[in-house]
Amino acid sequence: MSSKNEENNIFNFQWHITERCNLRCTHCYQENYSSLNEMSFEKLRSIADKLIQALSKWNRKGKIAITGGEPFVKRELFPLLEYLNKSPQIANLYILTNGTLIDEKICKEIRRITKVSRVQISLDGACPQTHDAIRGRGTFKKAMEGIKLLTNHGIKVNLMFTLQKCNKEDIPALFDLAIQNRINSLLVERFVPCGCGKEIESEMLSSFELQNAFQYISDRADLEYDKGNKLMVVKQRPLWINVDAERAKVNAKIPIHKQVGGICSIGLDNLTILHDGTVLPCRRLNIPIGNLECDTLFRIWYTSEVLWKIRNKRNLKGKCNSCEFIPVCSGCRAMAYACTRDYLGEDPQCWK
Amino acid sequence: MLEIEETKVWRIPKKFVLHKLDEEMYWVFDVKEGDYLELNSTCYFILSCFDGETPLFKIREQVISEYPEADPQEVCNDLEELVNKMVKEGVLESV
Repeated sequence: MSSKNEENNIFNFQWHITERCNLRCTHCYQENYSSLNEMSFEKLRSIADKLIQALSKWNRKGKIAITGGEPFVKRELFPLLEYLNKSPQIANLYILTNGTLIDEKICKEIRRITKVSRVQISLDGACPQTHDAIRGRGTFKKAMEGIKLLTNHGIKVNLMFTLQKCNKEDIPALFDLAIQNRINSLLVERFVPCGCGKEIESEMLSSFELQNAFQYISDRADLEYDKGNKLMVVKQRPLWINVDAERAKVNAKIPIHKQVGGICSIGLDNLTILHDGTVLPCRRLNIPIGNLECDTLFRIWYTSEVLWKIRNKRNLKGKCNSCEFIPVCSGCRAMAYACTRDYLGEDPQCWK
Repeated sequence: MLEIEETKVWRIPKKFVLHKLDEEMYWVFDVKEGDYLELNSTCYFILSCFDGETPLFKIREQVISEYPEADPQEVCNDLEELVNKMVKEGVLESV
């Protein structure tokens, strides 16, 4: 658990400060949207102190992604960001949002929080037809307006695209949209059928479809990079190594824009906190491992059986167990759990 | 060095947790303050003997039995040294 270089010296938290949301997306990993057990600012601050204490003890810097639900529906969002912004242990803050509530006032507020280095907007299609079918009527237009406002205020925008059968054909146009709108980075995440998303499990891509999608994204990202476009396409995730093992992240000679592959970060440098203090190994691996209202973060991190089982890669099953790419992949544990109820099982979408 | 009574009983305080990973890595974690010590397999075995019921002389017998190839006097010295260190770190407390 000690760290050797700057990258290893980062710990990532994804903090869902509310379950409330103005949208009801078909693939949502939530099951509820109530304000029940939502925390006051005092309680949020107490959780923040626990995170800062842990970072300080571990001599690590924190990157905290604040999200929901929809984070902009919670009035404590900016007071919390301001509080976190003051801590020397916090390196960066991010806001993950559906983008539909962003206005001039919000942009100005974001600009005041110096460590907010990026706002992530979920965009599940490159046109209203695709996006709105998933996220609701009129949401594409609103999200795009949000993106324009942010970029006009000089705030870096990351696009998050949840890849499903119904939107996979939009990927080429998504690249065009990202470049035209001066998007900083693009993250394509696989749809994991959990929460409300269980109802649309058939939207999961087959291994073959996923391979084709990843290959296109990788090739297109290379093309744009070679053309001098600044769009950063995030490929440091499980299964990406299958695209081209020669371009593994561990190969320092490869520019970061062309690197592929990343190990599942569960148990290594990542935790998810829910609106009521519940801690999950990952937002899509819905197995509570403690609650920061009553537990110390240290107790959760050091004693969780789930985390220890996942840390020990010899526990992985199926083709993940004997795979040469374990150090740069290890499969998506949340996907294994969603499809088989065994978080140590093989990644069901792997095409290797 | 502490004077260690043979009949004294020690335990690991609740805020400490022993953990091993795959018979290769061993730790004692302070789950309240976040500190931790990396251990070797022998230290891990010895610390896991301190159950709050077994007196020191019995633990010494257990350790000698677990490591029959080791010189018993050396085991005694190492055990005393470890207990002293762990008491100093707060990892062992007398019952």
